[in-house]
Amino acid sequence: MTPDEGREMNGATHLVRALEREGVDVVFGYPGGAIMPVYDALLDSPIRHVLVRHEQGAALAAVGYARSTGGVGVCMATSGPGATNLVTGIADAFADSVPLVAVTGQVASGMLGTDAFQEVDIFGMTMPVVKHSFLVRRTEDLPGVLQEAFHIARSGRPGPVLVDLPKDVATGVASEPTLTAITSDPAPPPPSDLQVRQALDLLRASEQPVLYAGGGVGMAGAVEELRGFVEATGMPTVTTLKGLGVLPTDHECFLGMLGMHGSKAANTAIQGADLLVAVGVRFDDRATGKLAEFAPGAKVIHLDIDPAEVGKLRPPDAPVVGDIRAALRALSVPVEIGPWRSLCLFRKETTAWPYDAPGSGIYAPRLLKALSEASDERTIVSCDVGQHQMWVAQHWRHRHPSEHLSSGGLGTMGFGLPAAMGAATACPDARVINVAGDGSFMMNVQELATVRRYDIPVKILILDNQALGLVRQWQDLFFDGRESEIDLSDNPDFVQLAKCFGIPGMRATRAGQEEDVVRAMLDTDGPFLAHVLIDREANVWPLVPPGADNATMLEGAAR
Amino acid sequence: MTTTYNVRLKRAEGALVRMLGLVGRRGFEPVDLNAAATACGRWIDVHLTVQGERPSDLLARQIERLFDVEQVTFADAVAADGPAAPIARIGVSATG
Repeated sequence: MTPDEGREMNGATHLVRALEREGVDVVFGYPGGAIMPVYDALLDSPIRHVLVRHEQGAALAAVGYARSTGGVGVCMATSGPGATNLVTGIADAFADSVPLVAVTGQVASGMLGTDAFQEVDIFGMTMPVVKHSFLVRRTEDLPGVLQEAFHIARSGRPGPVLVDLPKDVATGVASEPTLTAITSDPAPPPPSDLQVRQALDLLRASEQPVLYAGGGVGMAGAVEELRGFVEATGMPTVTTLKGLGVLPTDHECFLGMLGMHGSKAANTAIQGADLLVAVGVRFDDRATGKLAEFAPGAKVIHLDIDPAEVGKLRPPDAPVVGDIRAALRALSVPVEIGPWRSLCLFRKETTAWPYDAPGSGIYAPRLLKALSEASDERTIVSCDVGQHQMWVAQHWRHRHPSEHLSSGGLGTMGFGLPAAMGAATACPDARVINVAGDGSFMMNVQELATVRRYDIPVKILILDNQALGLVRQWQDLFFDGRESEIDLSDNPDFVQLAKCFGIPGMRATRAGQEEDVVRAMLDTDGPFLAHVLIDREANVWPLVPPGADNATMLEGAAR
Repeated sequence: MTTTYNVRLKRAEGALVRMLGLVGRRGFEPVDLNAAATACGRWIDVHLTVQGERPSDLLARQIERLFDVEQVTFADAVAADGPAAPIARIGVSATG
C-alpha cells in the first residue's frame, strides 16, 4: 500500500507521484500552457527538474541520462510545438532502443479534434517512433498508465513510451487506486537446447569465425558474458558503432568497428569469415554495406532478444533467440582457429591507424587519441554526427558501451551536448566530454544556457573544419566535387560565444597545441569549451562507398 | 505474395491504426481488412490480407511485438515461407 492510497489528488499530482514511485530523480523539460498543472505539482516533489532551452534538448538529455545509467530517462513538454520539438529525441531513442518516457501536455479532452490552440495529434504523429504510447482519457487511469509506461520502456528490447495528458485529465481529481505491482519481466528465457546445439555445431565446424557484436550486448547487460566468450574462443571481434566498448579497444582480439568507416582489419575479417557470431546486431546498412555481398562465405549464428530482429535482413543458419547472456555462456567453448586468428591479428597490426599526419594544423584523430588516453576510467564521451563522430569511433579508447554516447540509428546532429548534459546529471562523478562538429554544435547551442544555469561540468571539444565535413567529403567523392551548401566559414567565434553564456574556453589552431587542449579539458573545473580549428579538407578514412561491399574501402592521405 | 493474418488486438486507443501503420512501413500493402470488436468488448479481431515481397513470417513477428497485440496467426498456409530453421517461442503459428 502506498502512502497516498485512497487519497484524492488531481491528475498532475498523480503523475508526479507515479514518477516518484518509479524512482525518477530528474526530469528534463520545458513548461507551457497545457502542462502547467504538472509543473505546479512538481513544486511539491523532490524530483529535480532541469529546464532546458528547447524541448529537443530535453528529449536528448533524457536519452543521455538513460544511456549512461541503463535507467529510464524522462522528459516533458507542453502540447503542440512543445510536443513536436520532442519528436527527434523520441525517434532517436526508438532507433537506438533507449528506455525513455516522454510526457506531453495536451489540450482538454473536449477540445481534441477541434484544431484548438497548440493542439497536435502527438499520439498519432509519434506512432512510428515509439515502442508504445498512451492518450490518457481518465484521471483515475493515470497511475496505472505511468506504471505501465515505465514497465514497457525498460522491459525486453527497451524503447520510448509517450504519455499524452489532456489538461482536464491533469486537473481532474481522483483517488489513488490500489496498484498491483507489475513484476519486472523475468529474465528473458534462455535459448532452446536445440538452438544452442545448432549453434555449437556451426561454431565447432568453423575455421574462420568472427564475432560481430552490437548495441544489444550492452542493453542486455551481457558485456561480461561477451568478454567471457571472447576469452574462451579467442575469436577475432568486430563491433558496430553502438557496440564499441563491449570489448575494450586495446583487447588483442578487437579488430575495430566494421562498416562504412570501419577499420580495414575488421572489414577484411568479416568478408573472409566462414562464420559470423552476430550478437545484439541488426545488420544495419552502415555496418553491412551492400547486404548481398556482406560476409559472402559466412554462415550466421544470430543471438538476439528480439525475435523480429532475427532474419529481418540476413537469414540466420542458427537463430538463437532469448537471453543473450545465457546464450553466450552456453557457446563459450574453445575452438580451433589458430591460423585464422593469427592472420586477423597480423592484418590488424599491419593496418593500424596512422597518426603522423603532415602539416602544421591539428590532426583530429591524434588529438582524440591523446585526450582519450589521458582520460580516466570514469569518462563518458558523447558525440554529435559527422566526421568527428567517426573519428571518435575509430580513435577513442573505448572501455564500456555505456561510456560512449553516439546517435547510431537516427544520426541526430545536435545530439552531443544535450546527451552530455543528461549523462553528467545522471553520473556526477564521471567526467563527461562532448566531442562536437561545428555544424552539429550549432543545432543545440542554446543548451549552453542550461549547462551554465546548473553548472553542469561538461567539457566541450569542437572540431571546427568550417564546413559540413562529411557532406563535403561525399560531394567531393561522389558528386564530382560539386560542393553544395556545406560552407560554414562564417561560424561564430565559439570561445566568445561560450563566454557570453559564462563558460570559459580556449582556442587552438596549430599542431603542438594538442597537449594544451588535453590539459585544459581535463584540468578545468566546471564546464569548459575548447574550439579547435582543423583542416577543412580532412577526410575520414577508410570509406566504403554507399552501395558497395565492405571489401571496397577507399583510402586517402591523412591531413 | 498475398498473405492473410488473423490478429487479436486489445481494444485500446490507436491499436488498429498502429498495426496498420506498421504493416505499411514494413513494406506491405493492406488489400483487405475486416475488424470487429469481440462480444466481451475487450478485443478487436482483425482479418487482414496484405501484399508484399518481404517474408510474411517476419511481418508476423513485427506485428506480434506491438504492445496491444494479443495474438497473430496465419489464416492461410501460403504464408509459411520463413527461414528454414524455426525460431522458438515467437508465438506465431501457421494454422493452414
